[in-house]
Amino acid sequence: MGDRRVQILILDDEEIVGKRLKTALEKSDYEVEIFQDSRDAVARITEKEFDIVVTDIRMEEVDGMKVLEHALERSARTKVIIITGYATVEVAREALTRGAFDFIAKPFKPNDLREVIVRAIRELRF
Amino acid sequence: MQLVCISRGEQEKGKRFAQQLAAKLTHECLSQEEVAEIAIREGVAVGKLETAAVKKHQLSERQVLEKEHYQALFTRVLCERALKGSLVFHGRAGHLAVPGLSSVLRIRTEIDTETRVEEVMSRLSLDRARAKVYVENVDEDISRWIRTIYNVSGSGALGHDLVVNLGRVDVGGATTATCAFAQLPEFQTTPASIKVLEDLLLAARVRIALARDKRTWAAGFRVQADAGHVTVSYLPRDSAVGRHASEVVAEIPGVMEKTCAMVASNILWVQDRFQATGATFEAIVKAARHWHSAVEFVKLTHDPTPPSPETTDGDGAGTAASKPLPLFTTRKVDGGIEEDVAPVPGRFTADGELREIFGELNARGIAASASRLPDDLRRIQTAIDQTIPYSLVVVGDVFLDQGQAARVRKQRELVGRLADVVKAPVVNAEDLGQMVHTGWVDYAKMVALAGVVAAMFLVIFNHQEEVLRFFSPATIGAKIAAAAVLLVFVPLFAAAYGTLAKAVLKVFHVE
Repeated sequence: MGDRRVQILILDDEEIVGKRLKTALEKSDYEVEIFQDSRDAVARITEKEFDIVVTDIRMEEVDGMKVLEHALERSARTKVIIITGYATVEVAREALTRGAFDFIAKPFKPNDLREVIVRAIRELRF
Repeated sequence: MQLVCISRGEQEKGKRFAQQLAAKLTHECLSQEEVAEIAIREGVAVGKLETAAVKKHQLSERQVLEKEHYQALFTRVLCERALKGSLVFHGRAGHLAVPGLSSVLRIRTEIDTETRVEEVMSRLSLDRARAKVYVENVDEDISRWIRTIYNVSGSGALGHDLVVNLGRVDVGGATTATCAFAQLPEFQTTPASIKVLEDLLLAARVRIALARDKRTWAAGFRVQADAGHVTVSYLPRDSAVGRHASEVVAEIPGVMEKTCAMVASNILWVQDRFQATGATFEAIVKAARHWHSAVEFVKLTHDPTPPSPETTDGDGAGTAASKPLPLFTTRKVDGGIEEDVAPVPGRFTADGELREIFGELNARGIAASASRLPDDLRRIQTAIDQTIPYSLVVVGDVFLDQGQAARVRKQRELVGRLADVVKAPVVNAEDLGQMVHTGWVDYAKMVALAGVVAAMFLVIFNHQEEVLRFFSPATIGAKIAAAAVLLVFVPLFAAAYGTLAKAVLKVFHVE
């Protein structure tokens, strides 16, 4: 992969989530794009192959499961991490069955996400 | 009013059955998902408990608090609704949230795997292989969740009054049959069951109030209520916080009398390496349960620059700087993203061994605290908090990095030093095992001692005349002989009889 920076897309309908995670992850030298509208995020995933997609589940228009499926259809190597405040066993298990890399329940600390991202990067063999 | 709890896991058909049953009985219908939404709105991080079940994680100390809060909230919601009118709850083992309520009708729905796989394939648009994996895993996850939250097995029909096979009986038929079952007198509300609901509701409200108060939110409490008399107990590690509990409880409507007390004592367990399995662990758990104590464990480290000996917990919440955010607060303002807390090197958070065993003891409700100390005898002695009422100190395998002779010497010295500062018996792990377990060796000893004691009685009572003659001597020599025999025989008999009595009492846990 050379010196290419890890490309991360973050999708959450709450503006503050994207902003805070972008700030935190850019400190770790990741290239981060944030979206609030899931349709825009899906369009961007179609355009560009991201290494990691971090997405909320409950959103209007396109929900997180659809984003997960779209990201994996676009590129099977993309690691999709689900973040949600409405995590249930059923939703978590469904996401993992559909191929999500990991699942983080809110509230969480940026470090929790960083740890998952580091594991994802290890699997991506950067 | 009537309370019906349906354990239906994630089955869609189980939901339909519950909704139709509620409609037919004209009861209100409440789902697990609705309770979770209420809990989330009130600030309980339900998702953490759910994902812990999926990821097979031990709960951290903060999550154990979240669990207590969730339990209280769940009980409150069920009791409030059930006291207002009849209720059908459907989800995961709702009856466990209302312990002691005998009139609750506990139903479990079952559907064969193949039918469920077909249903999941259609509902979630998954292929067969994935749907099968989903069904198998989600059942395990839900069982694990029930075990985590209520510490009971979450699988099987045990603990239910009725099992409905929705794979064989259609929802309409099952509803009709269950309606008839629900009319049985065993499942009707009585004044006694209303009192149980009111007591549970008051206890839940008190627990939630303690969780919401900034003075008491960080402590673990057990709350019981009986006709307005509320009893709040807490662990010795929370003694500083616990004293505010009384003030919080006093402000809650419905509380007429209150008792706030610390649980009896702690068991201190000192060791080099900890495992949440094995004879010592089981013996400690048994002793803690038997004496209503909590377990505080100290791990001795050989690190030349050891961390501060202060008590820590699963989230590294031992200091003000690293305290987690208060629970029961709305997290909408930050979108659910908390501030990073800088990790403190070498602390409990980094010690998987301590985290695992703390989690195991927490799950059993007997974890007090965990700390790491350097294996320096003087520092260990000074680090022990003498204000904590210990009932027992157990010294396990310590100084393992040293040679056999040095290890035994230092272990003895440690036992002596601990005995100097703690007003409780200090024993090693082997002694503890002997104290709490009754094995086949003990039973063999008991039989042998019983034989010895019985033989002594038989000899004496079958030869009373000879015995009396022997102890009524005429000559000086015979008198000396009688005294000497008495001197030897009486202690021997006392020792045999005493040991036998102690062994028998131990079998019945009356040590």
